[in-house]
Amino acid sequence: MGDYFSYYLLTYFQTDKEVRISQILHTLRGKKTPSMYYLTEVNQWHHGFSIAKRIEENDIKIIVEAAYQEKWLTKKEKGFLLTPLGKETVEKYFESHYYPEFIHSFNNIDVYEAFWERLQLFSQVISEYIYHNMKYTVVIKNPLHQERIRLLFQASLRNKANALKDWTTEQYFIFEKLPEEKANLLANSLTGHGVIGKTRNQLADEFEMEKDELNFYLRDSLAEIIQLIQKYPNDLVITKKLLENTQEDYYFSMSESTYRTFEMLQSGKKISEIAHFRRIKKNTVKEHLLEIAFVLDRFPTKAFVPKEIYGFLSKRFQERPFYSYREAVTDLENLEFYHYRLVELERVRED
Amino acid sequence: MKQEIEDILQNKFNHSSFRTGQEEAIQSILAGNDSLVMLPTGVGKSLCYQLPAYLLDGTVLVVSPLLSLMQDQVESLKKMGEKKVVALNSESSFSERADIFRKINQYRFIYTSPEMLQNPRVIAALKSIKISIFVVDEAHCISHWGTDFRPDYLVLANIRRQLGEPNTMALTATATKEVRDEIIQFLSLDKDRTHQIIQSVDRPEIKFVVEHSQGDKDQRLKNYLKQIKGPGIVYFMSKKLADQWAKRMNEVMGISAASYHSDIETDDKSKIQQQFLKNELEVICATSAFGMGFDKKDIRFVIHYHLPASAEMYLQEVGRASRDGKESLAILLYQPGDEQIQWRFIEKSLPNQFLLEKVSHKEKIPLDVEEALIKLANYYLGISSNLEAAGSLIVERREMKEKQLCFMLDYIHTKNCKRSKLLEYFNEEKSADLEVCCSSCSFKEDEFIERVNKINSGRLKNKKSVQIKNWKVIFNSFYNKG
Repeated sequence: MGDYFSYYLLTYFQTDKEVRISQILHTLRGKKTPSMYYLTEVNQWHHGFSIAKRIEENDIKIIVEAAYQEKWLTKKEKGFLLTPLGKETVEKYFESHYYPEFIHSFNNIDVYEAFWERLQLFSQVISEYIYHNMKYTVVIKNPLHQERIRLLFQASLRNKANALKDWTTEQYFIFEKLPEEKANLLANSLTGHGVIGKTRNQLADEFEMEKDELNFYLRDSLAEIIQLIQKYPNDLVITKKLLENTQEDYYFSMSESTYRTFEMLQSGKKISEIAHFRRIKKNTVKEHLLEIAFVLDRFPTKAFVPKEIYGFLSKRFQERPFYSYREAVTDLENLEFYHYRLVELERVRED
Repeated sequence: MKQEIEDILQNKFNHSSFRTGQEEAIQSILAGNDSLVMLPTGVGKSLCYQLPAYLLDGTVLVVSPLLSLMQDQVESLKKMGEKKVVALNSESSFSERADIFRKINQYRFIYTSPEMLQNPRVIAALKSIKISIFVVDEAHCISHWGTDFRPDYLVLANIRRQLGEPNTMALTATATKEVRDEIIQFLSLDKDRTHQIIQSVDRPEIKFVVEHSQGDKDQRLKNYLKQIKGPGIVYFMSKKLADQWAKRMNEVMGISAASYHSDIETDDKSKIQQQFLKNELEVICATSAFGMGFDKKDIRFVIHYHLPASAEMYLQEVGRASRDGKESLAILLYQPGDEQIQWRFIEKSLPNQFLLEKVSHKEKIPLDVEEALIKLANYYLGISSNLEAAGSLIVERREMKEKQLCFMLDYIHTKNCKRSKLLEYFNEEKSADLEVCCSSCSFKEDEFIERVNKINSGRLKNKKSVQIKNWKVIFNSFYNKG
């Protein structure tokens, strides 16, 4: 019980609400169900969502057991509570270690890794191009990334004179705006002409972090870059294109089936039409709708919830912040779960 | 024709001559024969099908078991200037596949996996083109006798048939006669008409050492690392140990090292390989995940911290050394009890009765069961008449693996020539006595190590700079801003 990941896991526990091991497990594995989306949203666990797809339940149990032995956790009926000692320990630890602070939504959750690989690849391609070197070993082998970068590179070079200048200008622009340490970390990872980037382990050693801490640091840095792209789209045209291509390829962090539903919704199709066309159940489409609502930063709840139901639920949530679905169904017979959840999500986000 | 072949060898592949076995394999395929080609590790099996591609009409279809291997091969060809090459695998997106199908008749090389070949759309697309050579790389994966048996490979005979039985080349580096026979059988090749180009698995330039330790294995490894100059590889069965030793080498021993295993991110794996190639790293601390398709010429030692599972795996892993034809050391560190790790691994690597029953009754399988095990369970159930028969087959396979491990223990304990012992596994004999052979044959270790160290003494070391540079300095360099 001394490594970064153990302390990070401890931050999932709370002093006033039981947390179960299975909840943490499914969050880290990135289980894409409406209930896990909801749980992650409410607890603001986005930074951990899908970061450890292959983690075993036993891995978490070992850490939890060790924390329990240290009296940082107490066992409750179904889960664990953080003790005051545990809270103090965790807070002290993160005074001198990095805690993720830039990822607060599902918006690019499946995109960070791929975006980073494409950023590395494009930087390398441009660098080698500047030095007129055509014989080099690419650092990113993924053929989809290579194909995307090839197309982006070709499209950029149609206006050759400016293209290289534009890319380099954009990179300087981004890195100027990042905190220097983050800029240095990212830059030292890059591969370019005559230089092979450092690995995460090598950087972790140099930055005196554990690798897990560095991974969060890196991910947060990418989230920061994405925020810069959203803030300065006209100054970061090529980088924005690179990001958008990645988002499309990874279905905007939705599951593929949900994305297909999303496309059809965007074209104006109704739930019943989508279910019929795709030959899936209406309930499945409704689940897709919930996933879409969670993944997007903004969702037009009112477009999908009948006016009177929306009004009723909104009022109830104002009166009773913990108004449950069970209570709601008593008040509103035949209330659809997805209506309830959509309104609740909107309220959670407003809070 | 001979002149054409030599011209392509020179101009396209930048080689002045063939290595043993390559020319024969190339001539065989050009003559329209199905071929089984077994060349030692590091000889360059890829050339055997890549060169003929430039003399034949049509597309060379290469079946490969590993995504990374495919990607490395495609990369190498592209680096050579070949543009008509593509990898068709599970990483290809829907739109990318559509694009490949549209342009399928334009490719000189298509790399793919056995899984992809089971996709009807893929078969339909391949049927529309002329396949000049059907290449089965790492063909030992088809054999039950082999250590890396993959059930997906068993579909290849049927795939061949569907594609009109094109000229076939099966490639492997380490295969016993039983494995070779199974390769021919399971690819439905005509044994009498299949040309077999079989070279000895022996690598005379690699010297074999077994070091027996009694609780001081770590110290022995440290001693070797201090004594032998790299570059080198140290193989472990444990990712954690690989990480720990890499850290120790960097922080305590002044050796530039990196760990390499399945938990290392893909982009980092690529960087480690590149750093190693450029002599920025001296030692790789690896699990068996490292090495396939990787070609560094001047590796001077391969140390095994743990007992390998079989002679095939051992030869394959030590075969990463001496690609430049110069001498190197293969050291196996053994401590009594090491075999327990492999016994446990054998148990875990095959489906047990519980899993067999679950799969057989189509019940829900626990999430933590590896997909490879489920595949194996399905395979054995598929070829058996009932659950009991499937169980028996698995027992047989377990026994075969145990036999392979017992052989490695015999290798460790034999006081006779180590090289001869290893060759015995492949039904071979030592072709000639060597001046320096192995730790059983009057081996003067210190002298030999000094000799090996001199080989790379002029090597330019570009020890990885540990300094973090300011991002502006890096960018100015990358983008040539002076």
